[in-house]
Amino acid sequence: MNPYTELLRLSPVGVLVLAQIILFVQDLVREDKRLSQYISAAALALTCLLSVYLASSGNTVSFANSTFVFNSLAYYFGVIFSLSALLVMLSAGSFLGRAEYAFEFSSLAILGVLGSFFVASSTNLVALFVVFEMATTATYGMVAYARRSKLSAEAAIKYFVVGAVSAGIIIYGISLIYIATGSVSISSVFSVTSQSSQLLDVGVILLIVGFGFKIAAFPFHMWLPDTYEGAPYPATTYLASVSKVMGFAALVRIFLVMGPAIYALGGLNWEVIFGLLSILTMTFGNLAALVQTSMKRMLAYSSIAMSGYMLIGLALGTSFSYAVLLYFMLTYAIAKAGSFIVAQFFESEHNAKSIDDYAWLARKSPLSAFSLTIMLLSLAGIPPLSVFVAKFFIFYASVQVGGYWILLAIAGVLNSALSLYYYARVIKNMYIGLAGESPPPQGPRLERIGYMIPILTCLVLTIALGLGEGTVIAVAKHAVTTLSATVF
Amino acid sequence: MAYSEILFMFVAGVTIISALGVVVSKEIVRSAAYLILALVGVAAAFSLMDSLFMAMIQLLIYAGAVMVLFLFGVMLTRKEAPAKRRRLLSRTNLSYLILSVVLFFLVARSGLMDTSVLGGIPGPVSAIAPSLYTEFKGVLYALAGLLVTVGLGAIYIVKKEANEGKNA
Amino acid sequence: MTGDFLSLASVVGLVSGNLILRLIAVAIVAFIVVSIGSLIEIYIERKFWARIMSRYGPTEVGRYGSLQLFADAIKFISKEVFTPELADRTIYDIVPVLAVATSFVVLVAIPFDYAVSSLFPSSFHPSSFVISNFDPSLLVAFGFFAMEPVLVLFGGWAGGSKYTLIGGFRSAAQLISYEIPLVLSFLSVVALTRSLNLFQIIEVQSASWPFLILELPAFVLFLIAMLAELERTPFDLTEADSELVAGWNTEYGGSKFLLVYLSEYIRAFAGSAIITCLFLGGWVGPAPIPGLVWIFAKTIVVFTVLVWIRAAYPRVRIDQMLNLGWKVLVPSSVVWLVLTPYVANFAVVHHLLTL
Repeated sequence: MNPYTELLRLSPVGVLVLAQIILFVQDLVREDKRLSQYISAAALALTCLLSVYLASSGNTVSFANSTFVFNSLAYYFGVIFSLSALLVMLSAGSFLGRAEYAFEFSSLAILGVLGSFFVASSTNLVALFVVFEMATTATYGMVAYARRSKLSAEAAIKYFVVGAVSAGIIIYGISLIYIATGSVSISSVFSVTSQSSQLLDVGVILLIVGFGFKIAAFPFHMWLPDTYEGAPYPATTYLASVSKVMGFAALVRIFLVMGPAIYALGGLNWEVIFGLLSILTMTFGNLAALVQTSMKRMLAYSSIAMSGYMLIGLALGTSFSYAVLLYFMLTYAIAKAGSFIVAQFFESEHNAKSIDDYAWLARKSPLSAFSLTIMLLSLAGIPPLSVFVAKFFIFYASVQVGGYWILLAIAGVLNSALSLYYYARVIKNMYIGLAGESPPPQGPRLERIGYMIPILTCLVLTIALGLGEGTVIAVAKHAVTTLSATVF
Repeated sequence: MAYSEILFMFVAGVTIISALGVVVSKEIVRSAAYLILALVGVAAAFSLMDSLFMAMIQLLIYAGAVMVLFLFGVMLTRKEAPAKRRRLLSRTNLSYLILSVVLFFLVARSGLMDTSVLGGIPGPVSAIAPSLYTEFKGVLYALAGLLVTVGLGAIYIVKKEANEGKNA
Repeated sequence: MTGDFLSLASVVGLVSGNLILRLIAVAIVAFIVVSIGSLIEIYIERKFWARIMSRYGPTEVGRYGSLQLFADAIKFISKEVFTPELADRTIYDIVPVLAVATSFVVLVAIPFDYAVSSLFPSSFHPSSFVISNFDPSLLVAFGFFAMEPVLVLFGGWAGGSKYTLIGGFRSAAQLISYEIPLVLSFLSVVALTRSLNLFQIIEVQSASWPFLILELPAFVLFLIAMLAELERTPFDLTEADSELVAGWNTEYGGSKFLLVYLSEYIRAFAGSAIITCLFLGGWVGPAPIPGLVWIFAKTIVVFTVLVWIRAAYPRVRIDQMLNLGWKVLVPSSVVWLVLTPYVANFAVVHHLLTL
């Protein structure tokens, strides 16, 4: 291969590594909060553009003895990671302005994206675990970023303990898989003896449990609301977008390649496990979100519910469902990051924490309120917004598979209807206020340019992705089929 | 039964009992002491399985270095036992017990037949480096990234306040 | 003879009467060697140090005070055995015993048994007697060396006193942070000989030069790190008498203190012996003198140098110690580790490795 081609194909991660080095040097020479934020945002934007180009043109390059293979799938995930992290960095300006140090946050965001990028590209379970931990460790630091705040510390401790336990479970699962198959590579071809097939099953179940903590599937979700609530807003946005998609990236990476062989050799029907997890997760998340009064907590529970919908894509296990899952993750990350950024803006500008505080905010900040409305409607599943399209296709995929899998679609539709209630409550509060309260006098309109850039980006993408879903799904489908074709 | 098997049973028994001791012990420093005993037991089990290298790494890193960090944390935070006495037969402990028994039987049912595969003859120690630097070179790079991240996060959390440094 | 690698597992697995006998014999050899060694060490510590300071040291008991140590030992043993009220009794009692035991195990990995057996003619052939010739023997030595910080912490904690706890923390922090340069600097020797077996390391030295010459920077780094590991002046701030009474072992008295004291000297002896094997060529020497004499004499000389350093330098502060460890020793040992292949190339030792 032409060395320049190879360099180009490694450039998304190369840009991030370079940015990290520049950040270190910059912090050493002169501490400047704005500059470090701009450097990381620029690097993430560049990575995002490069990944978009490379994902759409279907390139493949292997790195470090084929331990990491960057193909369309990895680049596709790279787009999601770098785009969401870019949104985080753009919206973090006022938070970092108040923080003591800004350089570490930018660095951790870059390193987290770097780790996540490698998660999506690893072909080896041990390497996957190590880079997964790298990305997770970066988020520990981000959650604990407000060092003086007790809530932040509590959130970080809870998150760290759960993260450490899940890391232990994952590594135990990997070791059992290694014992059963004699190999740690993620490959579609492996063999087991008749006795060790059950060992393989136990290992795979442990992997599902371990990664289930990261994506907050139902029985493993308990850390999520407290952590999301206690963490500073940029960290919450990062957790809800980059970190959650990374958990799915690991699962997709493993089950897309190894899934059929696990079913054939181990006899483990992992699709049913994902299906059950999916129904439980979406139902629980929606029911819990119904009774929340805090906006941040409501969004946290709704992100649990969204994990449930996305798990359908894993449960079906067809190449179409994987492609839809990829599309779903992109739309979810943007809509979720956007709503958290608007919530951050409202909290810092209007001191709005609970859902009741959102009364009449549309009069004070009309553009942000409109964006939040669009994004919440998108999450609820209102056509033609992007998450609706994703949900529609994923339910369509389950109907297409048929049999009992239609239950997933029915559960999903019922849950979407349920979720509309709590999203609509926020929108109602913003536009027509609380019952029996007169509207406040028309005050000065408050929109901050630092927040408006990421908010409007999310708004535009939420609408545009919904309208132009065909291209994205085509790229996603291409990514999935190339991976299942070029596995080793 | 061979002499080495009896020894292995003894070592395994000590390891399990001290692992139980970690959970059951009321005083947290005692728990740490039992944990060290358990880790040393694992090291002994490694050495009995013809893998002295692994045994010594276990001793150097876990029983030696990691446990010292644990002990620093434990001894610096609180010396006396928690005021509320933990009950041995609580619901939490019961769920741990059930989970571990289920896991044990799942692994045992499939794994017990495989002892011949598991206890394979290990290669020479000198084979570790070549495989580490060629076959698993990507994992090594990943570890470098992990260490940078961990260092950055940890240093940030313990870093002095920004204005604190100027006054001092 | 280097072909005869015995792992601990095969030692245990193939136990025959012969092997049990050998194990017991080796343990006895190690015990005798270390007893004599420790006695000589303590005597040097007292007498040589005193002479440097223009004192006489012990003179009363025995000729030149040579029996003073036995008098001290009898004094320690005859004292009352007590436990402080606030102490954690079990841990307090068990720590001195474990300290001696782990220090003693280090000696099994050092080829004194080979040096002893080579005194005898072929009927008691070295390779059938020797058990210290197994593959990662260097790692075994350091694995048990690394148990000390844990014991120190427990000893300091169990004493139930503030001073012992602080002393324990200081000790453990120092031991942990100096283990890194220690390991990094011996790694360059390992890289040069491609072996973790002290036997083979000595063999390579006997065929080329002692690594004191080839690996001088590593030797200096190792010596400094070892000084800190043995908690001797200038790194004895863990027992800094003027600040902390006597460090983590303040609350130990009588025979328990004797054990703690003994474990420190056994560690010092083992550390000196490791330096001898790694850098000074072990039992190999220019004159036709038995190997046992060489290895023993070299060990004692290394220890004398440690005493000399103790007499010559003041104690460092804790921040100086940490700076030295992290900012000087660790980077320089890494740099030297990178340079080691060039040394190997220069000294052409690789053709010896097929021995």
